[in-house]
Amino acid sequence: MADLLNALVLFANFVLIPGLSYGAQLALGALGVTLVYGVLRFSNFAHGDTMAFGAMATILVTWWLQARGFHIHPLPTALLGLPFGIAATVLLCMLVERTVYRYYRHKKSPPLVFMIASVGVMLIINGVVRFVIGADDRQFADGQRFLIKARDFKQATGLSEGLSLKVSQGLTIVIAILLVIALFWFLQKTRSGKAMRAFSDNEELALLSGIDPLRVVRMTWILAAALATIAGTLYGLDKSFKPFTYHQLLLPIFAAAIVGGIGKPHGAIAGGFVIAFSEVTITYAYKKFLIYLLPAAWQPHGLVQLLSTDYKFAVSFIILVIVLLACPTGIFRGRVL
Amino acid sequence: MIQVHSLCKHFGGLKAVHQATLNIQRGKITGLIGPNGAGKTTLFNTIAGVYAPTGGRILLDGEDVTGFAPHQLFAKGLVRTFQIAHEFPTLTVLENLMMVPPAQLGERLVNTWLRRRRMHKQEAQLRRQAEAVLEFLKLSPLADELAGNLSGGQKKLLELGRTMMTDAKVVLLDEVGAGVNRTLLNDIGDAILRLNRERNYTFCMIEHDMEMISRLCDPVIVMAEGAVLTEGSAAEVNANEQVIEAYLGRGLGIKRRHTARVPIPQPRPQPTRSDASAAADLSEVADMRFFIGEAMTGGYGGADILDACTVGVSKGEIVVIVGPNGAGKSTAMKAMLGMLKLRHGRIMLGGVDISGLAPQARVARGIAFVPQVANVFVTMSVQENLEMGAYLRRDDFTATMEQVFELFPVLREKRRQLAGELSGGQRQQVAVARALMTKPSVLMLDEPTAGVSPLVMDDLFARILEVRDSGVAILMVEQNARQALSIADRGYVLVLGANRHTDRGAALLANPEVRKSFLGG
Repeated sequence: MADLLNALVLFANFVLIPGLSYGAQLALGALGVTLVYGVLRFSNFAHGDTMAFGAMATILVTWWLQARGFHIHPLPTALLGLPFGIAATVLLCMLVERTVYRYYRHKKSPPLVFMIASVGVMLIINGVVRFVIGADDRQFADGQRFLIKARDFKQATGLSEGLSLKVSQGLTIVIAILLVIALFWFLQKTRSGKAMRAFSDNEELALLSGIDPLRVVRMTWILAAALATIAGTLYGLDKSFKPFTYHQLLLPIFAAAIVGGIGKPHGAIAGGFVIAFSEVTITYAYKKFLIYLLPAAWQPHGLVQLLSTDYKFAVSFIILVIVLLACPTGIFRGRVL
Repeated sequence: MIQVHSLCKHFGGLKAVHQATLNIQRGKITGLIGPNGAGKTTLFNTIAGVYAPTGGRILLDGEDVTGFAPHQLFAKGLVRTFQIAHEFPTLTVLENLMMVPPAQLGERLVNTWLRRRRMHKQEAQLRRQAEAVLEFLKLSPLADELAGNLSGGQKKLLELGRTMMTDAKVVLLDEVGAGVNRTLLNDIGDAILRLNRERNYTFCMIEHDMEMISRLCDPVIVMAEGAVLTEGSAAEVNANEQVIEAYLGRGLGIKRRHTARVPIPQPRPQPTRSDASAAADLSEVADMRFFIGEAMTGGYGGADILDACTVGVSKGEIVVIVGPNGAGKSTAMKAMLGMLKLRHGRIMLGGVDISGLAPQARVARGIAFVPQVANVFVTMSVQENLEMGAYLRRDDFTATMEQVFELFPVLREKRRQLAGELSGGQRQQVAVARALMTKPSVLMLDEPTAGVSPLVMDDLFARILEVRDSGVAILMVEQNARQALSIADRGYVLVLGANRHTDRGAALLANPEVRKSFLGG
């Protein structure tokens, strides 16, 4: 019995909790991608680096606050910096919209042109971020580190396996839930949110109803920028901030958006968790888990790891390919790419 | 030829087709009619292999073909056309036809080197075949036009032409007549009859136009609520009480309670005029109309589609624009809405020149437009559709919504349902209702009854009359010219983008020239 409980705790500690928080981060990122795709109708490849920019802006403000001695112990100071980071990212997105995308929108360019333009934007933002904050790992997490410490858990339960829950993980999950609720409320209940959905559904008819396209575009960028900054900051708190990691995050984020059905907000959330759990479960070494469960004779010698963590991006890539082949509209029947 | 045994196709809880049993006989033209939402198109799609049936069996020439994929059925000689034409818009009409036959030599790169002569020979032969088809359909002058530039009716003919390029044995036609004027409809009817007699094609056609059904089809199968209601000759079906109740309705007579009103005084009786004098006279009348496009000339960048065309409408008046396919009817309306740039002419609303305003600005000034297709937000509920219609209004619009629900009681029942889940006729009601939410002074409708059953059409026209009586100026393009003119206060006949006739609706209906050219005698 104790073995079974130990196995479950082990699984929760190394798969369930990391999967949940990573999934929530991917879901927030994918929500931004899916909003831009649904309303502005192109795949925004710059989203990963927008997350990096948002996180960078938040970190700079957080450092300044930390230097001044502001803090909100036990929560990380970064939460105070977040609104400033969001504001900076919104400004960045507006600037890009004005200088790049508006031109193509005016020319009525096909989505492919927008997508290629977004690749250029991605490279520029990536350069700016590395220029400002450097290419190295940056730490900015402070406040209390753990909600539940592994040692306390062991003492309390008497099990030999510990369960730990980091503050950043708890925050990620709570903030993601609140944000998703707020976003859905906005899209379903408010006049502006409905206008966005109408514009996404049928642009021509939205124009005929007097919906101002510039306003819808602006709102979309504000939402996408806010989601990107929050997702980026939470990811940075949970792991660490390194510009190149965010660049690579683009793949799982797109995979999440497409698997869930691109253009569908609930699809992005489902997709985020599908991708996160696939990655975590496939790259986890099950040796210890199986030792608890199997009789002595059957115990494995190897790590029982299906794929090394170095290859974790291959997981999202394979899922992406399978989904595009088998059901290109994704779980919730989004648009076909 | 095709036997369908207790076929079922359910979408979740929705039983689109339920226990339908019917028989399409070889060498006959079978008509399939029924109210909107009866499951006609779903039945077609299931027979053609687009959907896998939930239950039942389909036999083609005695062979069980239940669950076959569309291309397998195509290879067996079963071809279907679509209600909304599926052409390749960037290829020419001729190319559209030439690419229909499968497995052509030129599709393999290696053949372009190794079998050059044979490939060219095959292509020349295909070209001849395609030209013959175009000849047959009287489309030859358009052979080198891009298919995307064809008018709605011409696309339907092209669709028919595509079936002629195959070894079709049985053809399923989904509303070839929707959005096609009477004259062209007669041409399509002739083509179908000739194909049936000379080439022994078997047809099964969904059609709402009872005249076409009576002329072509025997037997006629009536569907309602997913099942077969009855079957018989056109005359039998026409007289059947159940069918009248479910589908045909009793004509506008009983519904037109609202037309018994004092007619709005006409500026003066307008005799039918020739082109030249019309332009001269209209300029005087022009000032009296509330909303008018004067001497509009322009197109979508290429050649001019409108040629000094003038269209105007007063408050409390229904004006219908009729004319052959490709006459620029929809284009005239789009020009008045500001969706294309005019080279000459101006648009006046209530005495103010609005030519320079963008479409949204015109909407804000009280012009509402209902497009022909894609006219509802399919992923939003009926109520949300109406709210979007009222987007520009900052005041409380619950009273307007109440009025709209009063006008379209069905929508009140379905207000929580997604507009995309409604039947064609109900969607059309949502589209009109959305446009009414701004409390417009001008309502423009682009073919509001395309593809809806006669019963729904009568109902829709009755509603439009009610809207007119509330003092709104109504301008509509309608293929169903006869019905439309019968409720219209005035009508414009356009030909090649220019005014041909302008008169009261009834007078146009009585005009022998108009009857002959556009109403099919």
